[in-house]
Amino acid sequence: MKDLIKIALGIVTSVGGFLEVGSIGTGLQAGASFRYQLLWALALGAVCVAFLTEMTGRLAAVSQHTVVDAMRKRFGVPFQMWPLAAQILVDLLVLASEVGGAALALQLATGVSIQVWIVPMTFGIWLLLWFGTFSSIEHGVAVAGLVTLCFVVAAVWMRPDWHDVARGLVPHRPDSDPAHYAYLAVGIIGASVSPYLISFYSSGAVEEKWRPKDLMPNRIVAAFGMGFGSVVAMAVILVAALVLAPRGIDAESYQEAAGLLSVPLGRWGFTLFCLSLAIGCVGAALELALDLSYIVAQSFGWDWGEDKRPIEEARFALTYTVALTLATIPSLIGIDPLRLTMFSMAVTVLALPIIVAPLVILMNDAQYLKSHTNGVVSNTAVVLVIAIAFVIAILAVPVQWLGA
Amino acid sequence: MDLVRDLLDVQLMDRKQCRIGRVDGVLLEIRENRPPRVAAMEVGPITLVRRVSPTLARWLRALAARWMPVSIRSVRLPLTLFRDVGVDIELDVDAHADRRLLRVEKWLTRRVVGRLPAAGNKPGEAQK
Repeated sequence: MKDLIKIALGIVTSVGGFLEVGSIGTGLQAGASFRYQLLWALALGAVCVAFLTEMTGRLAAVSQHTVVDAMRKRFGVPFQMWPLAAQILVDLLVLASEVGGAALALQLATGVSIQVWIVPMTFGIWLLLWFGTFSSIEHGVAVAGLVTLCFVVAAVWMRPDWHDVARGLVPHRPDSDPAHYAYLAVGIIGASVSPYLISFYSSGAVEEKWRPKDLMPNRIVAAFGMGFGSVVAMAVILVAALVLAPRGIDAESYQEAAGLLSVPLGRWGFTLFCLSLAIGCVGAALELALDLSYIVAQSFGWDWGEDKRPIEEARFALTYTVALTLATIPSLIGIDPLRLTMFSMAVTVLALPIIVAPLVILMNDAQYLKSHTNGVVSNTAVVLVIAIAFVIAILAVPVQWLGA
Repeated sequence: MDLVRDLLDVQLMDRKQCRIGRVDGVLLEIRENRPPRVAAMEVGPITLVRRVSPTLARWLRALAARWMPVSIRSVRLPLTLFRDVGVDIELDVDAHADRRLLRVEKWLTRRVVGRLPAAGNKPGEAQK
């Protein structure tokens, strides 16, 4: 039963990777414009994230140290400042997108503007962090995240052609508009292989005091958690392909796509869409705000841990407080959350190589991993992930320019 | 001990397992006709920034002297304080009792975080 509860860390991590404003937004556009043709990008992202989280969970379970911890010690500050700066920038941009996305869900539900909702929504997220413990946040998001299974129910209900779905899992030349296709493929991978998943998952494993006996549960949690997120994200693409594509709706805004679930699920569809968007965004925002505190505290050697009281770790608590305050600014000045998300994902893709590349050295360091260093399979996987990260980083700027 | 591999950037803990920073710099004593000797470890943001850019460190020092309400001067800790050396280093100090350590943390606790509501408790704590 205890091992089963560990699944919560996998689910909460995957919510931040697959069910937040960026992933739902790109999924809707991918399904609406290219039906099932971009499912492969999501599957590729899910496999990459599952390998990366398994590795960082293993590092945490064996050494009781996080990736950021190990990176600072192994590479020193003159090198580590670059991945750290890149990750702080990415985390802040994505956090701003998520709080904007959560406020957007409330705007869709109530008709009251994002600018009215953004401050109370962010304050609510801050209260959860201030008063909550790691396990209460983790289990709360994991349970609430199950609401997003409504996309899976809707997708199965609409009886897609499973043969076409399977064909979508293999990359093919697009039927039309290759620039937009490439733009969405990079967006989907950028939204799912997010660097904060890696540092959050390893910090979560240290918070939960994983030990070497947890190595097998870690593998299951990484595979099951990322499997959960990617299946729901694939269902978003399927529903968009079945509902939006035949009606010629291109889902360039959430307002256009909000009625998506009403077709298969009737009057509950709209409520479930808004609820799923809000839960995904709040879950991701909690994850990102905590991740910012984790990476800063671990880099500078401060005391950290969401289970501690704010007065026991003032700098940790103030870091997420300041991050959340800054995250409200783009929405307050009227920047559309979906546009901010697309920009954040392009920055994420550019930053990804310098954040994941050091993993190939860290995961082979016996001082941390003892006899559990990477084997041939894991090393091949991490090298492939780094190669993919470099390729999409090179493609990101031209693709953003041509395909947006 | 390899100073760069085993000492520089290592996490420091006090005897109560409280994290007190990282080894941001190592101070060497140059002796005539004898090998250099490690005089102390330095912990503090100015030492850290100096490793990236000495100019930036000078700016930080000047800014901090003018605007920071609490000193961010680096702390020098002798190697005689070592209690246990592993992936982290445990020192024979009590960070909360030692006035030189965690100055910014203590100031923020007293002046900022401590004044916010419910900073001293977590409702979920009882279940831990």
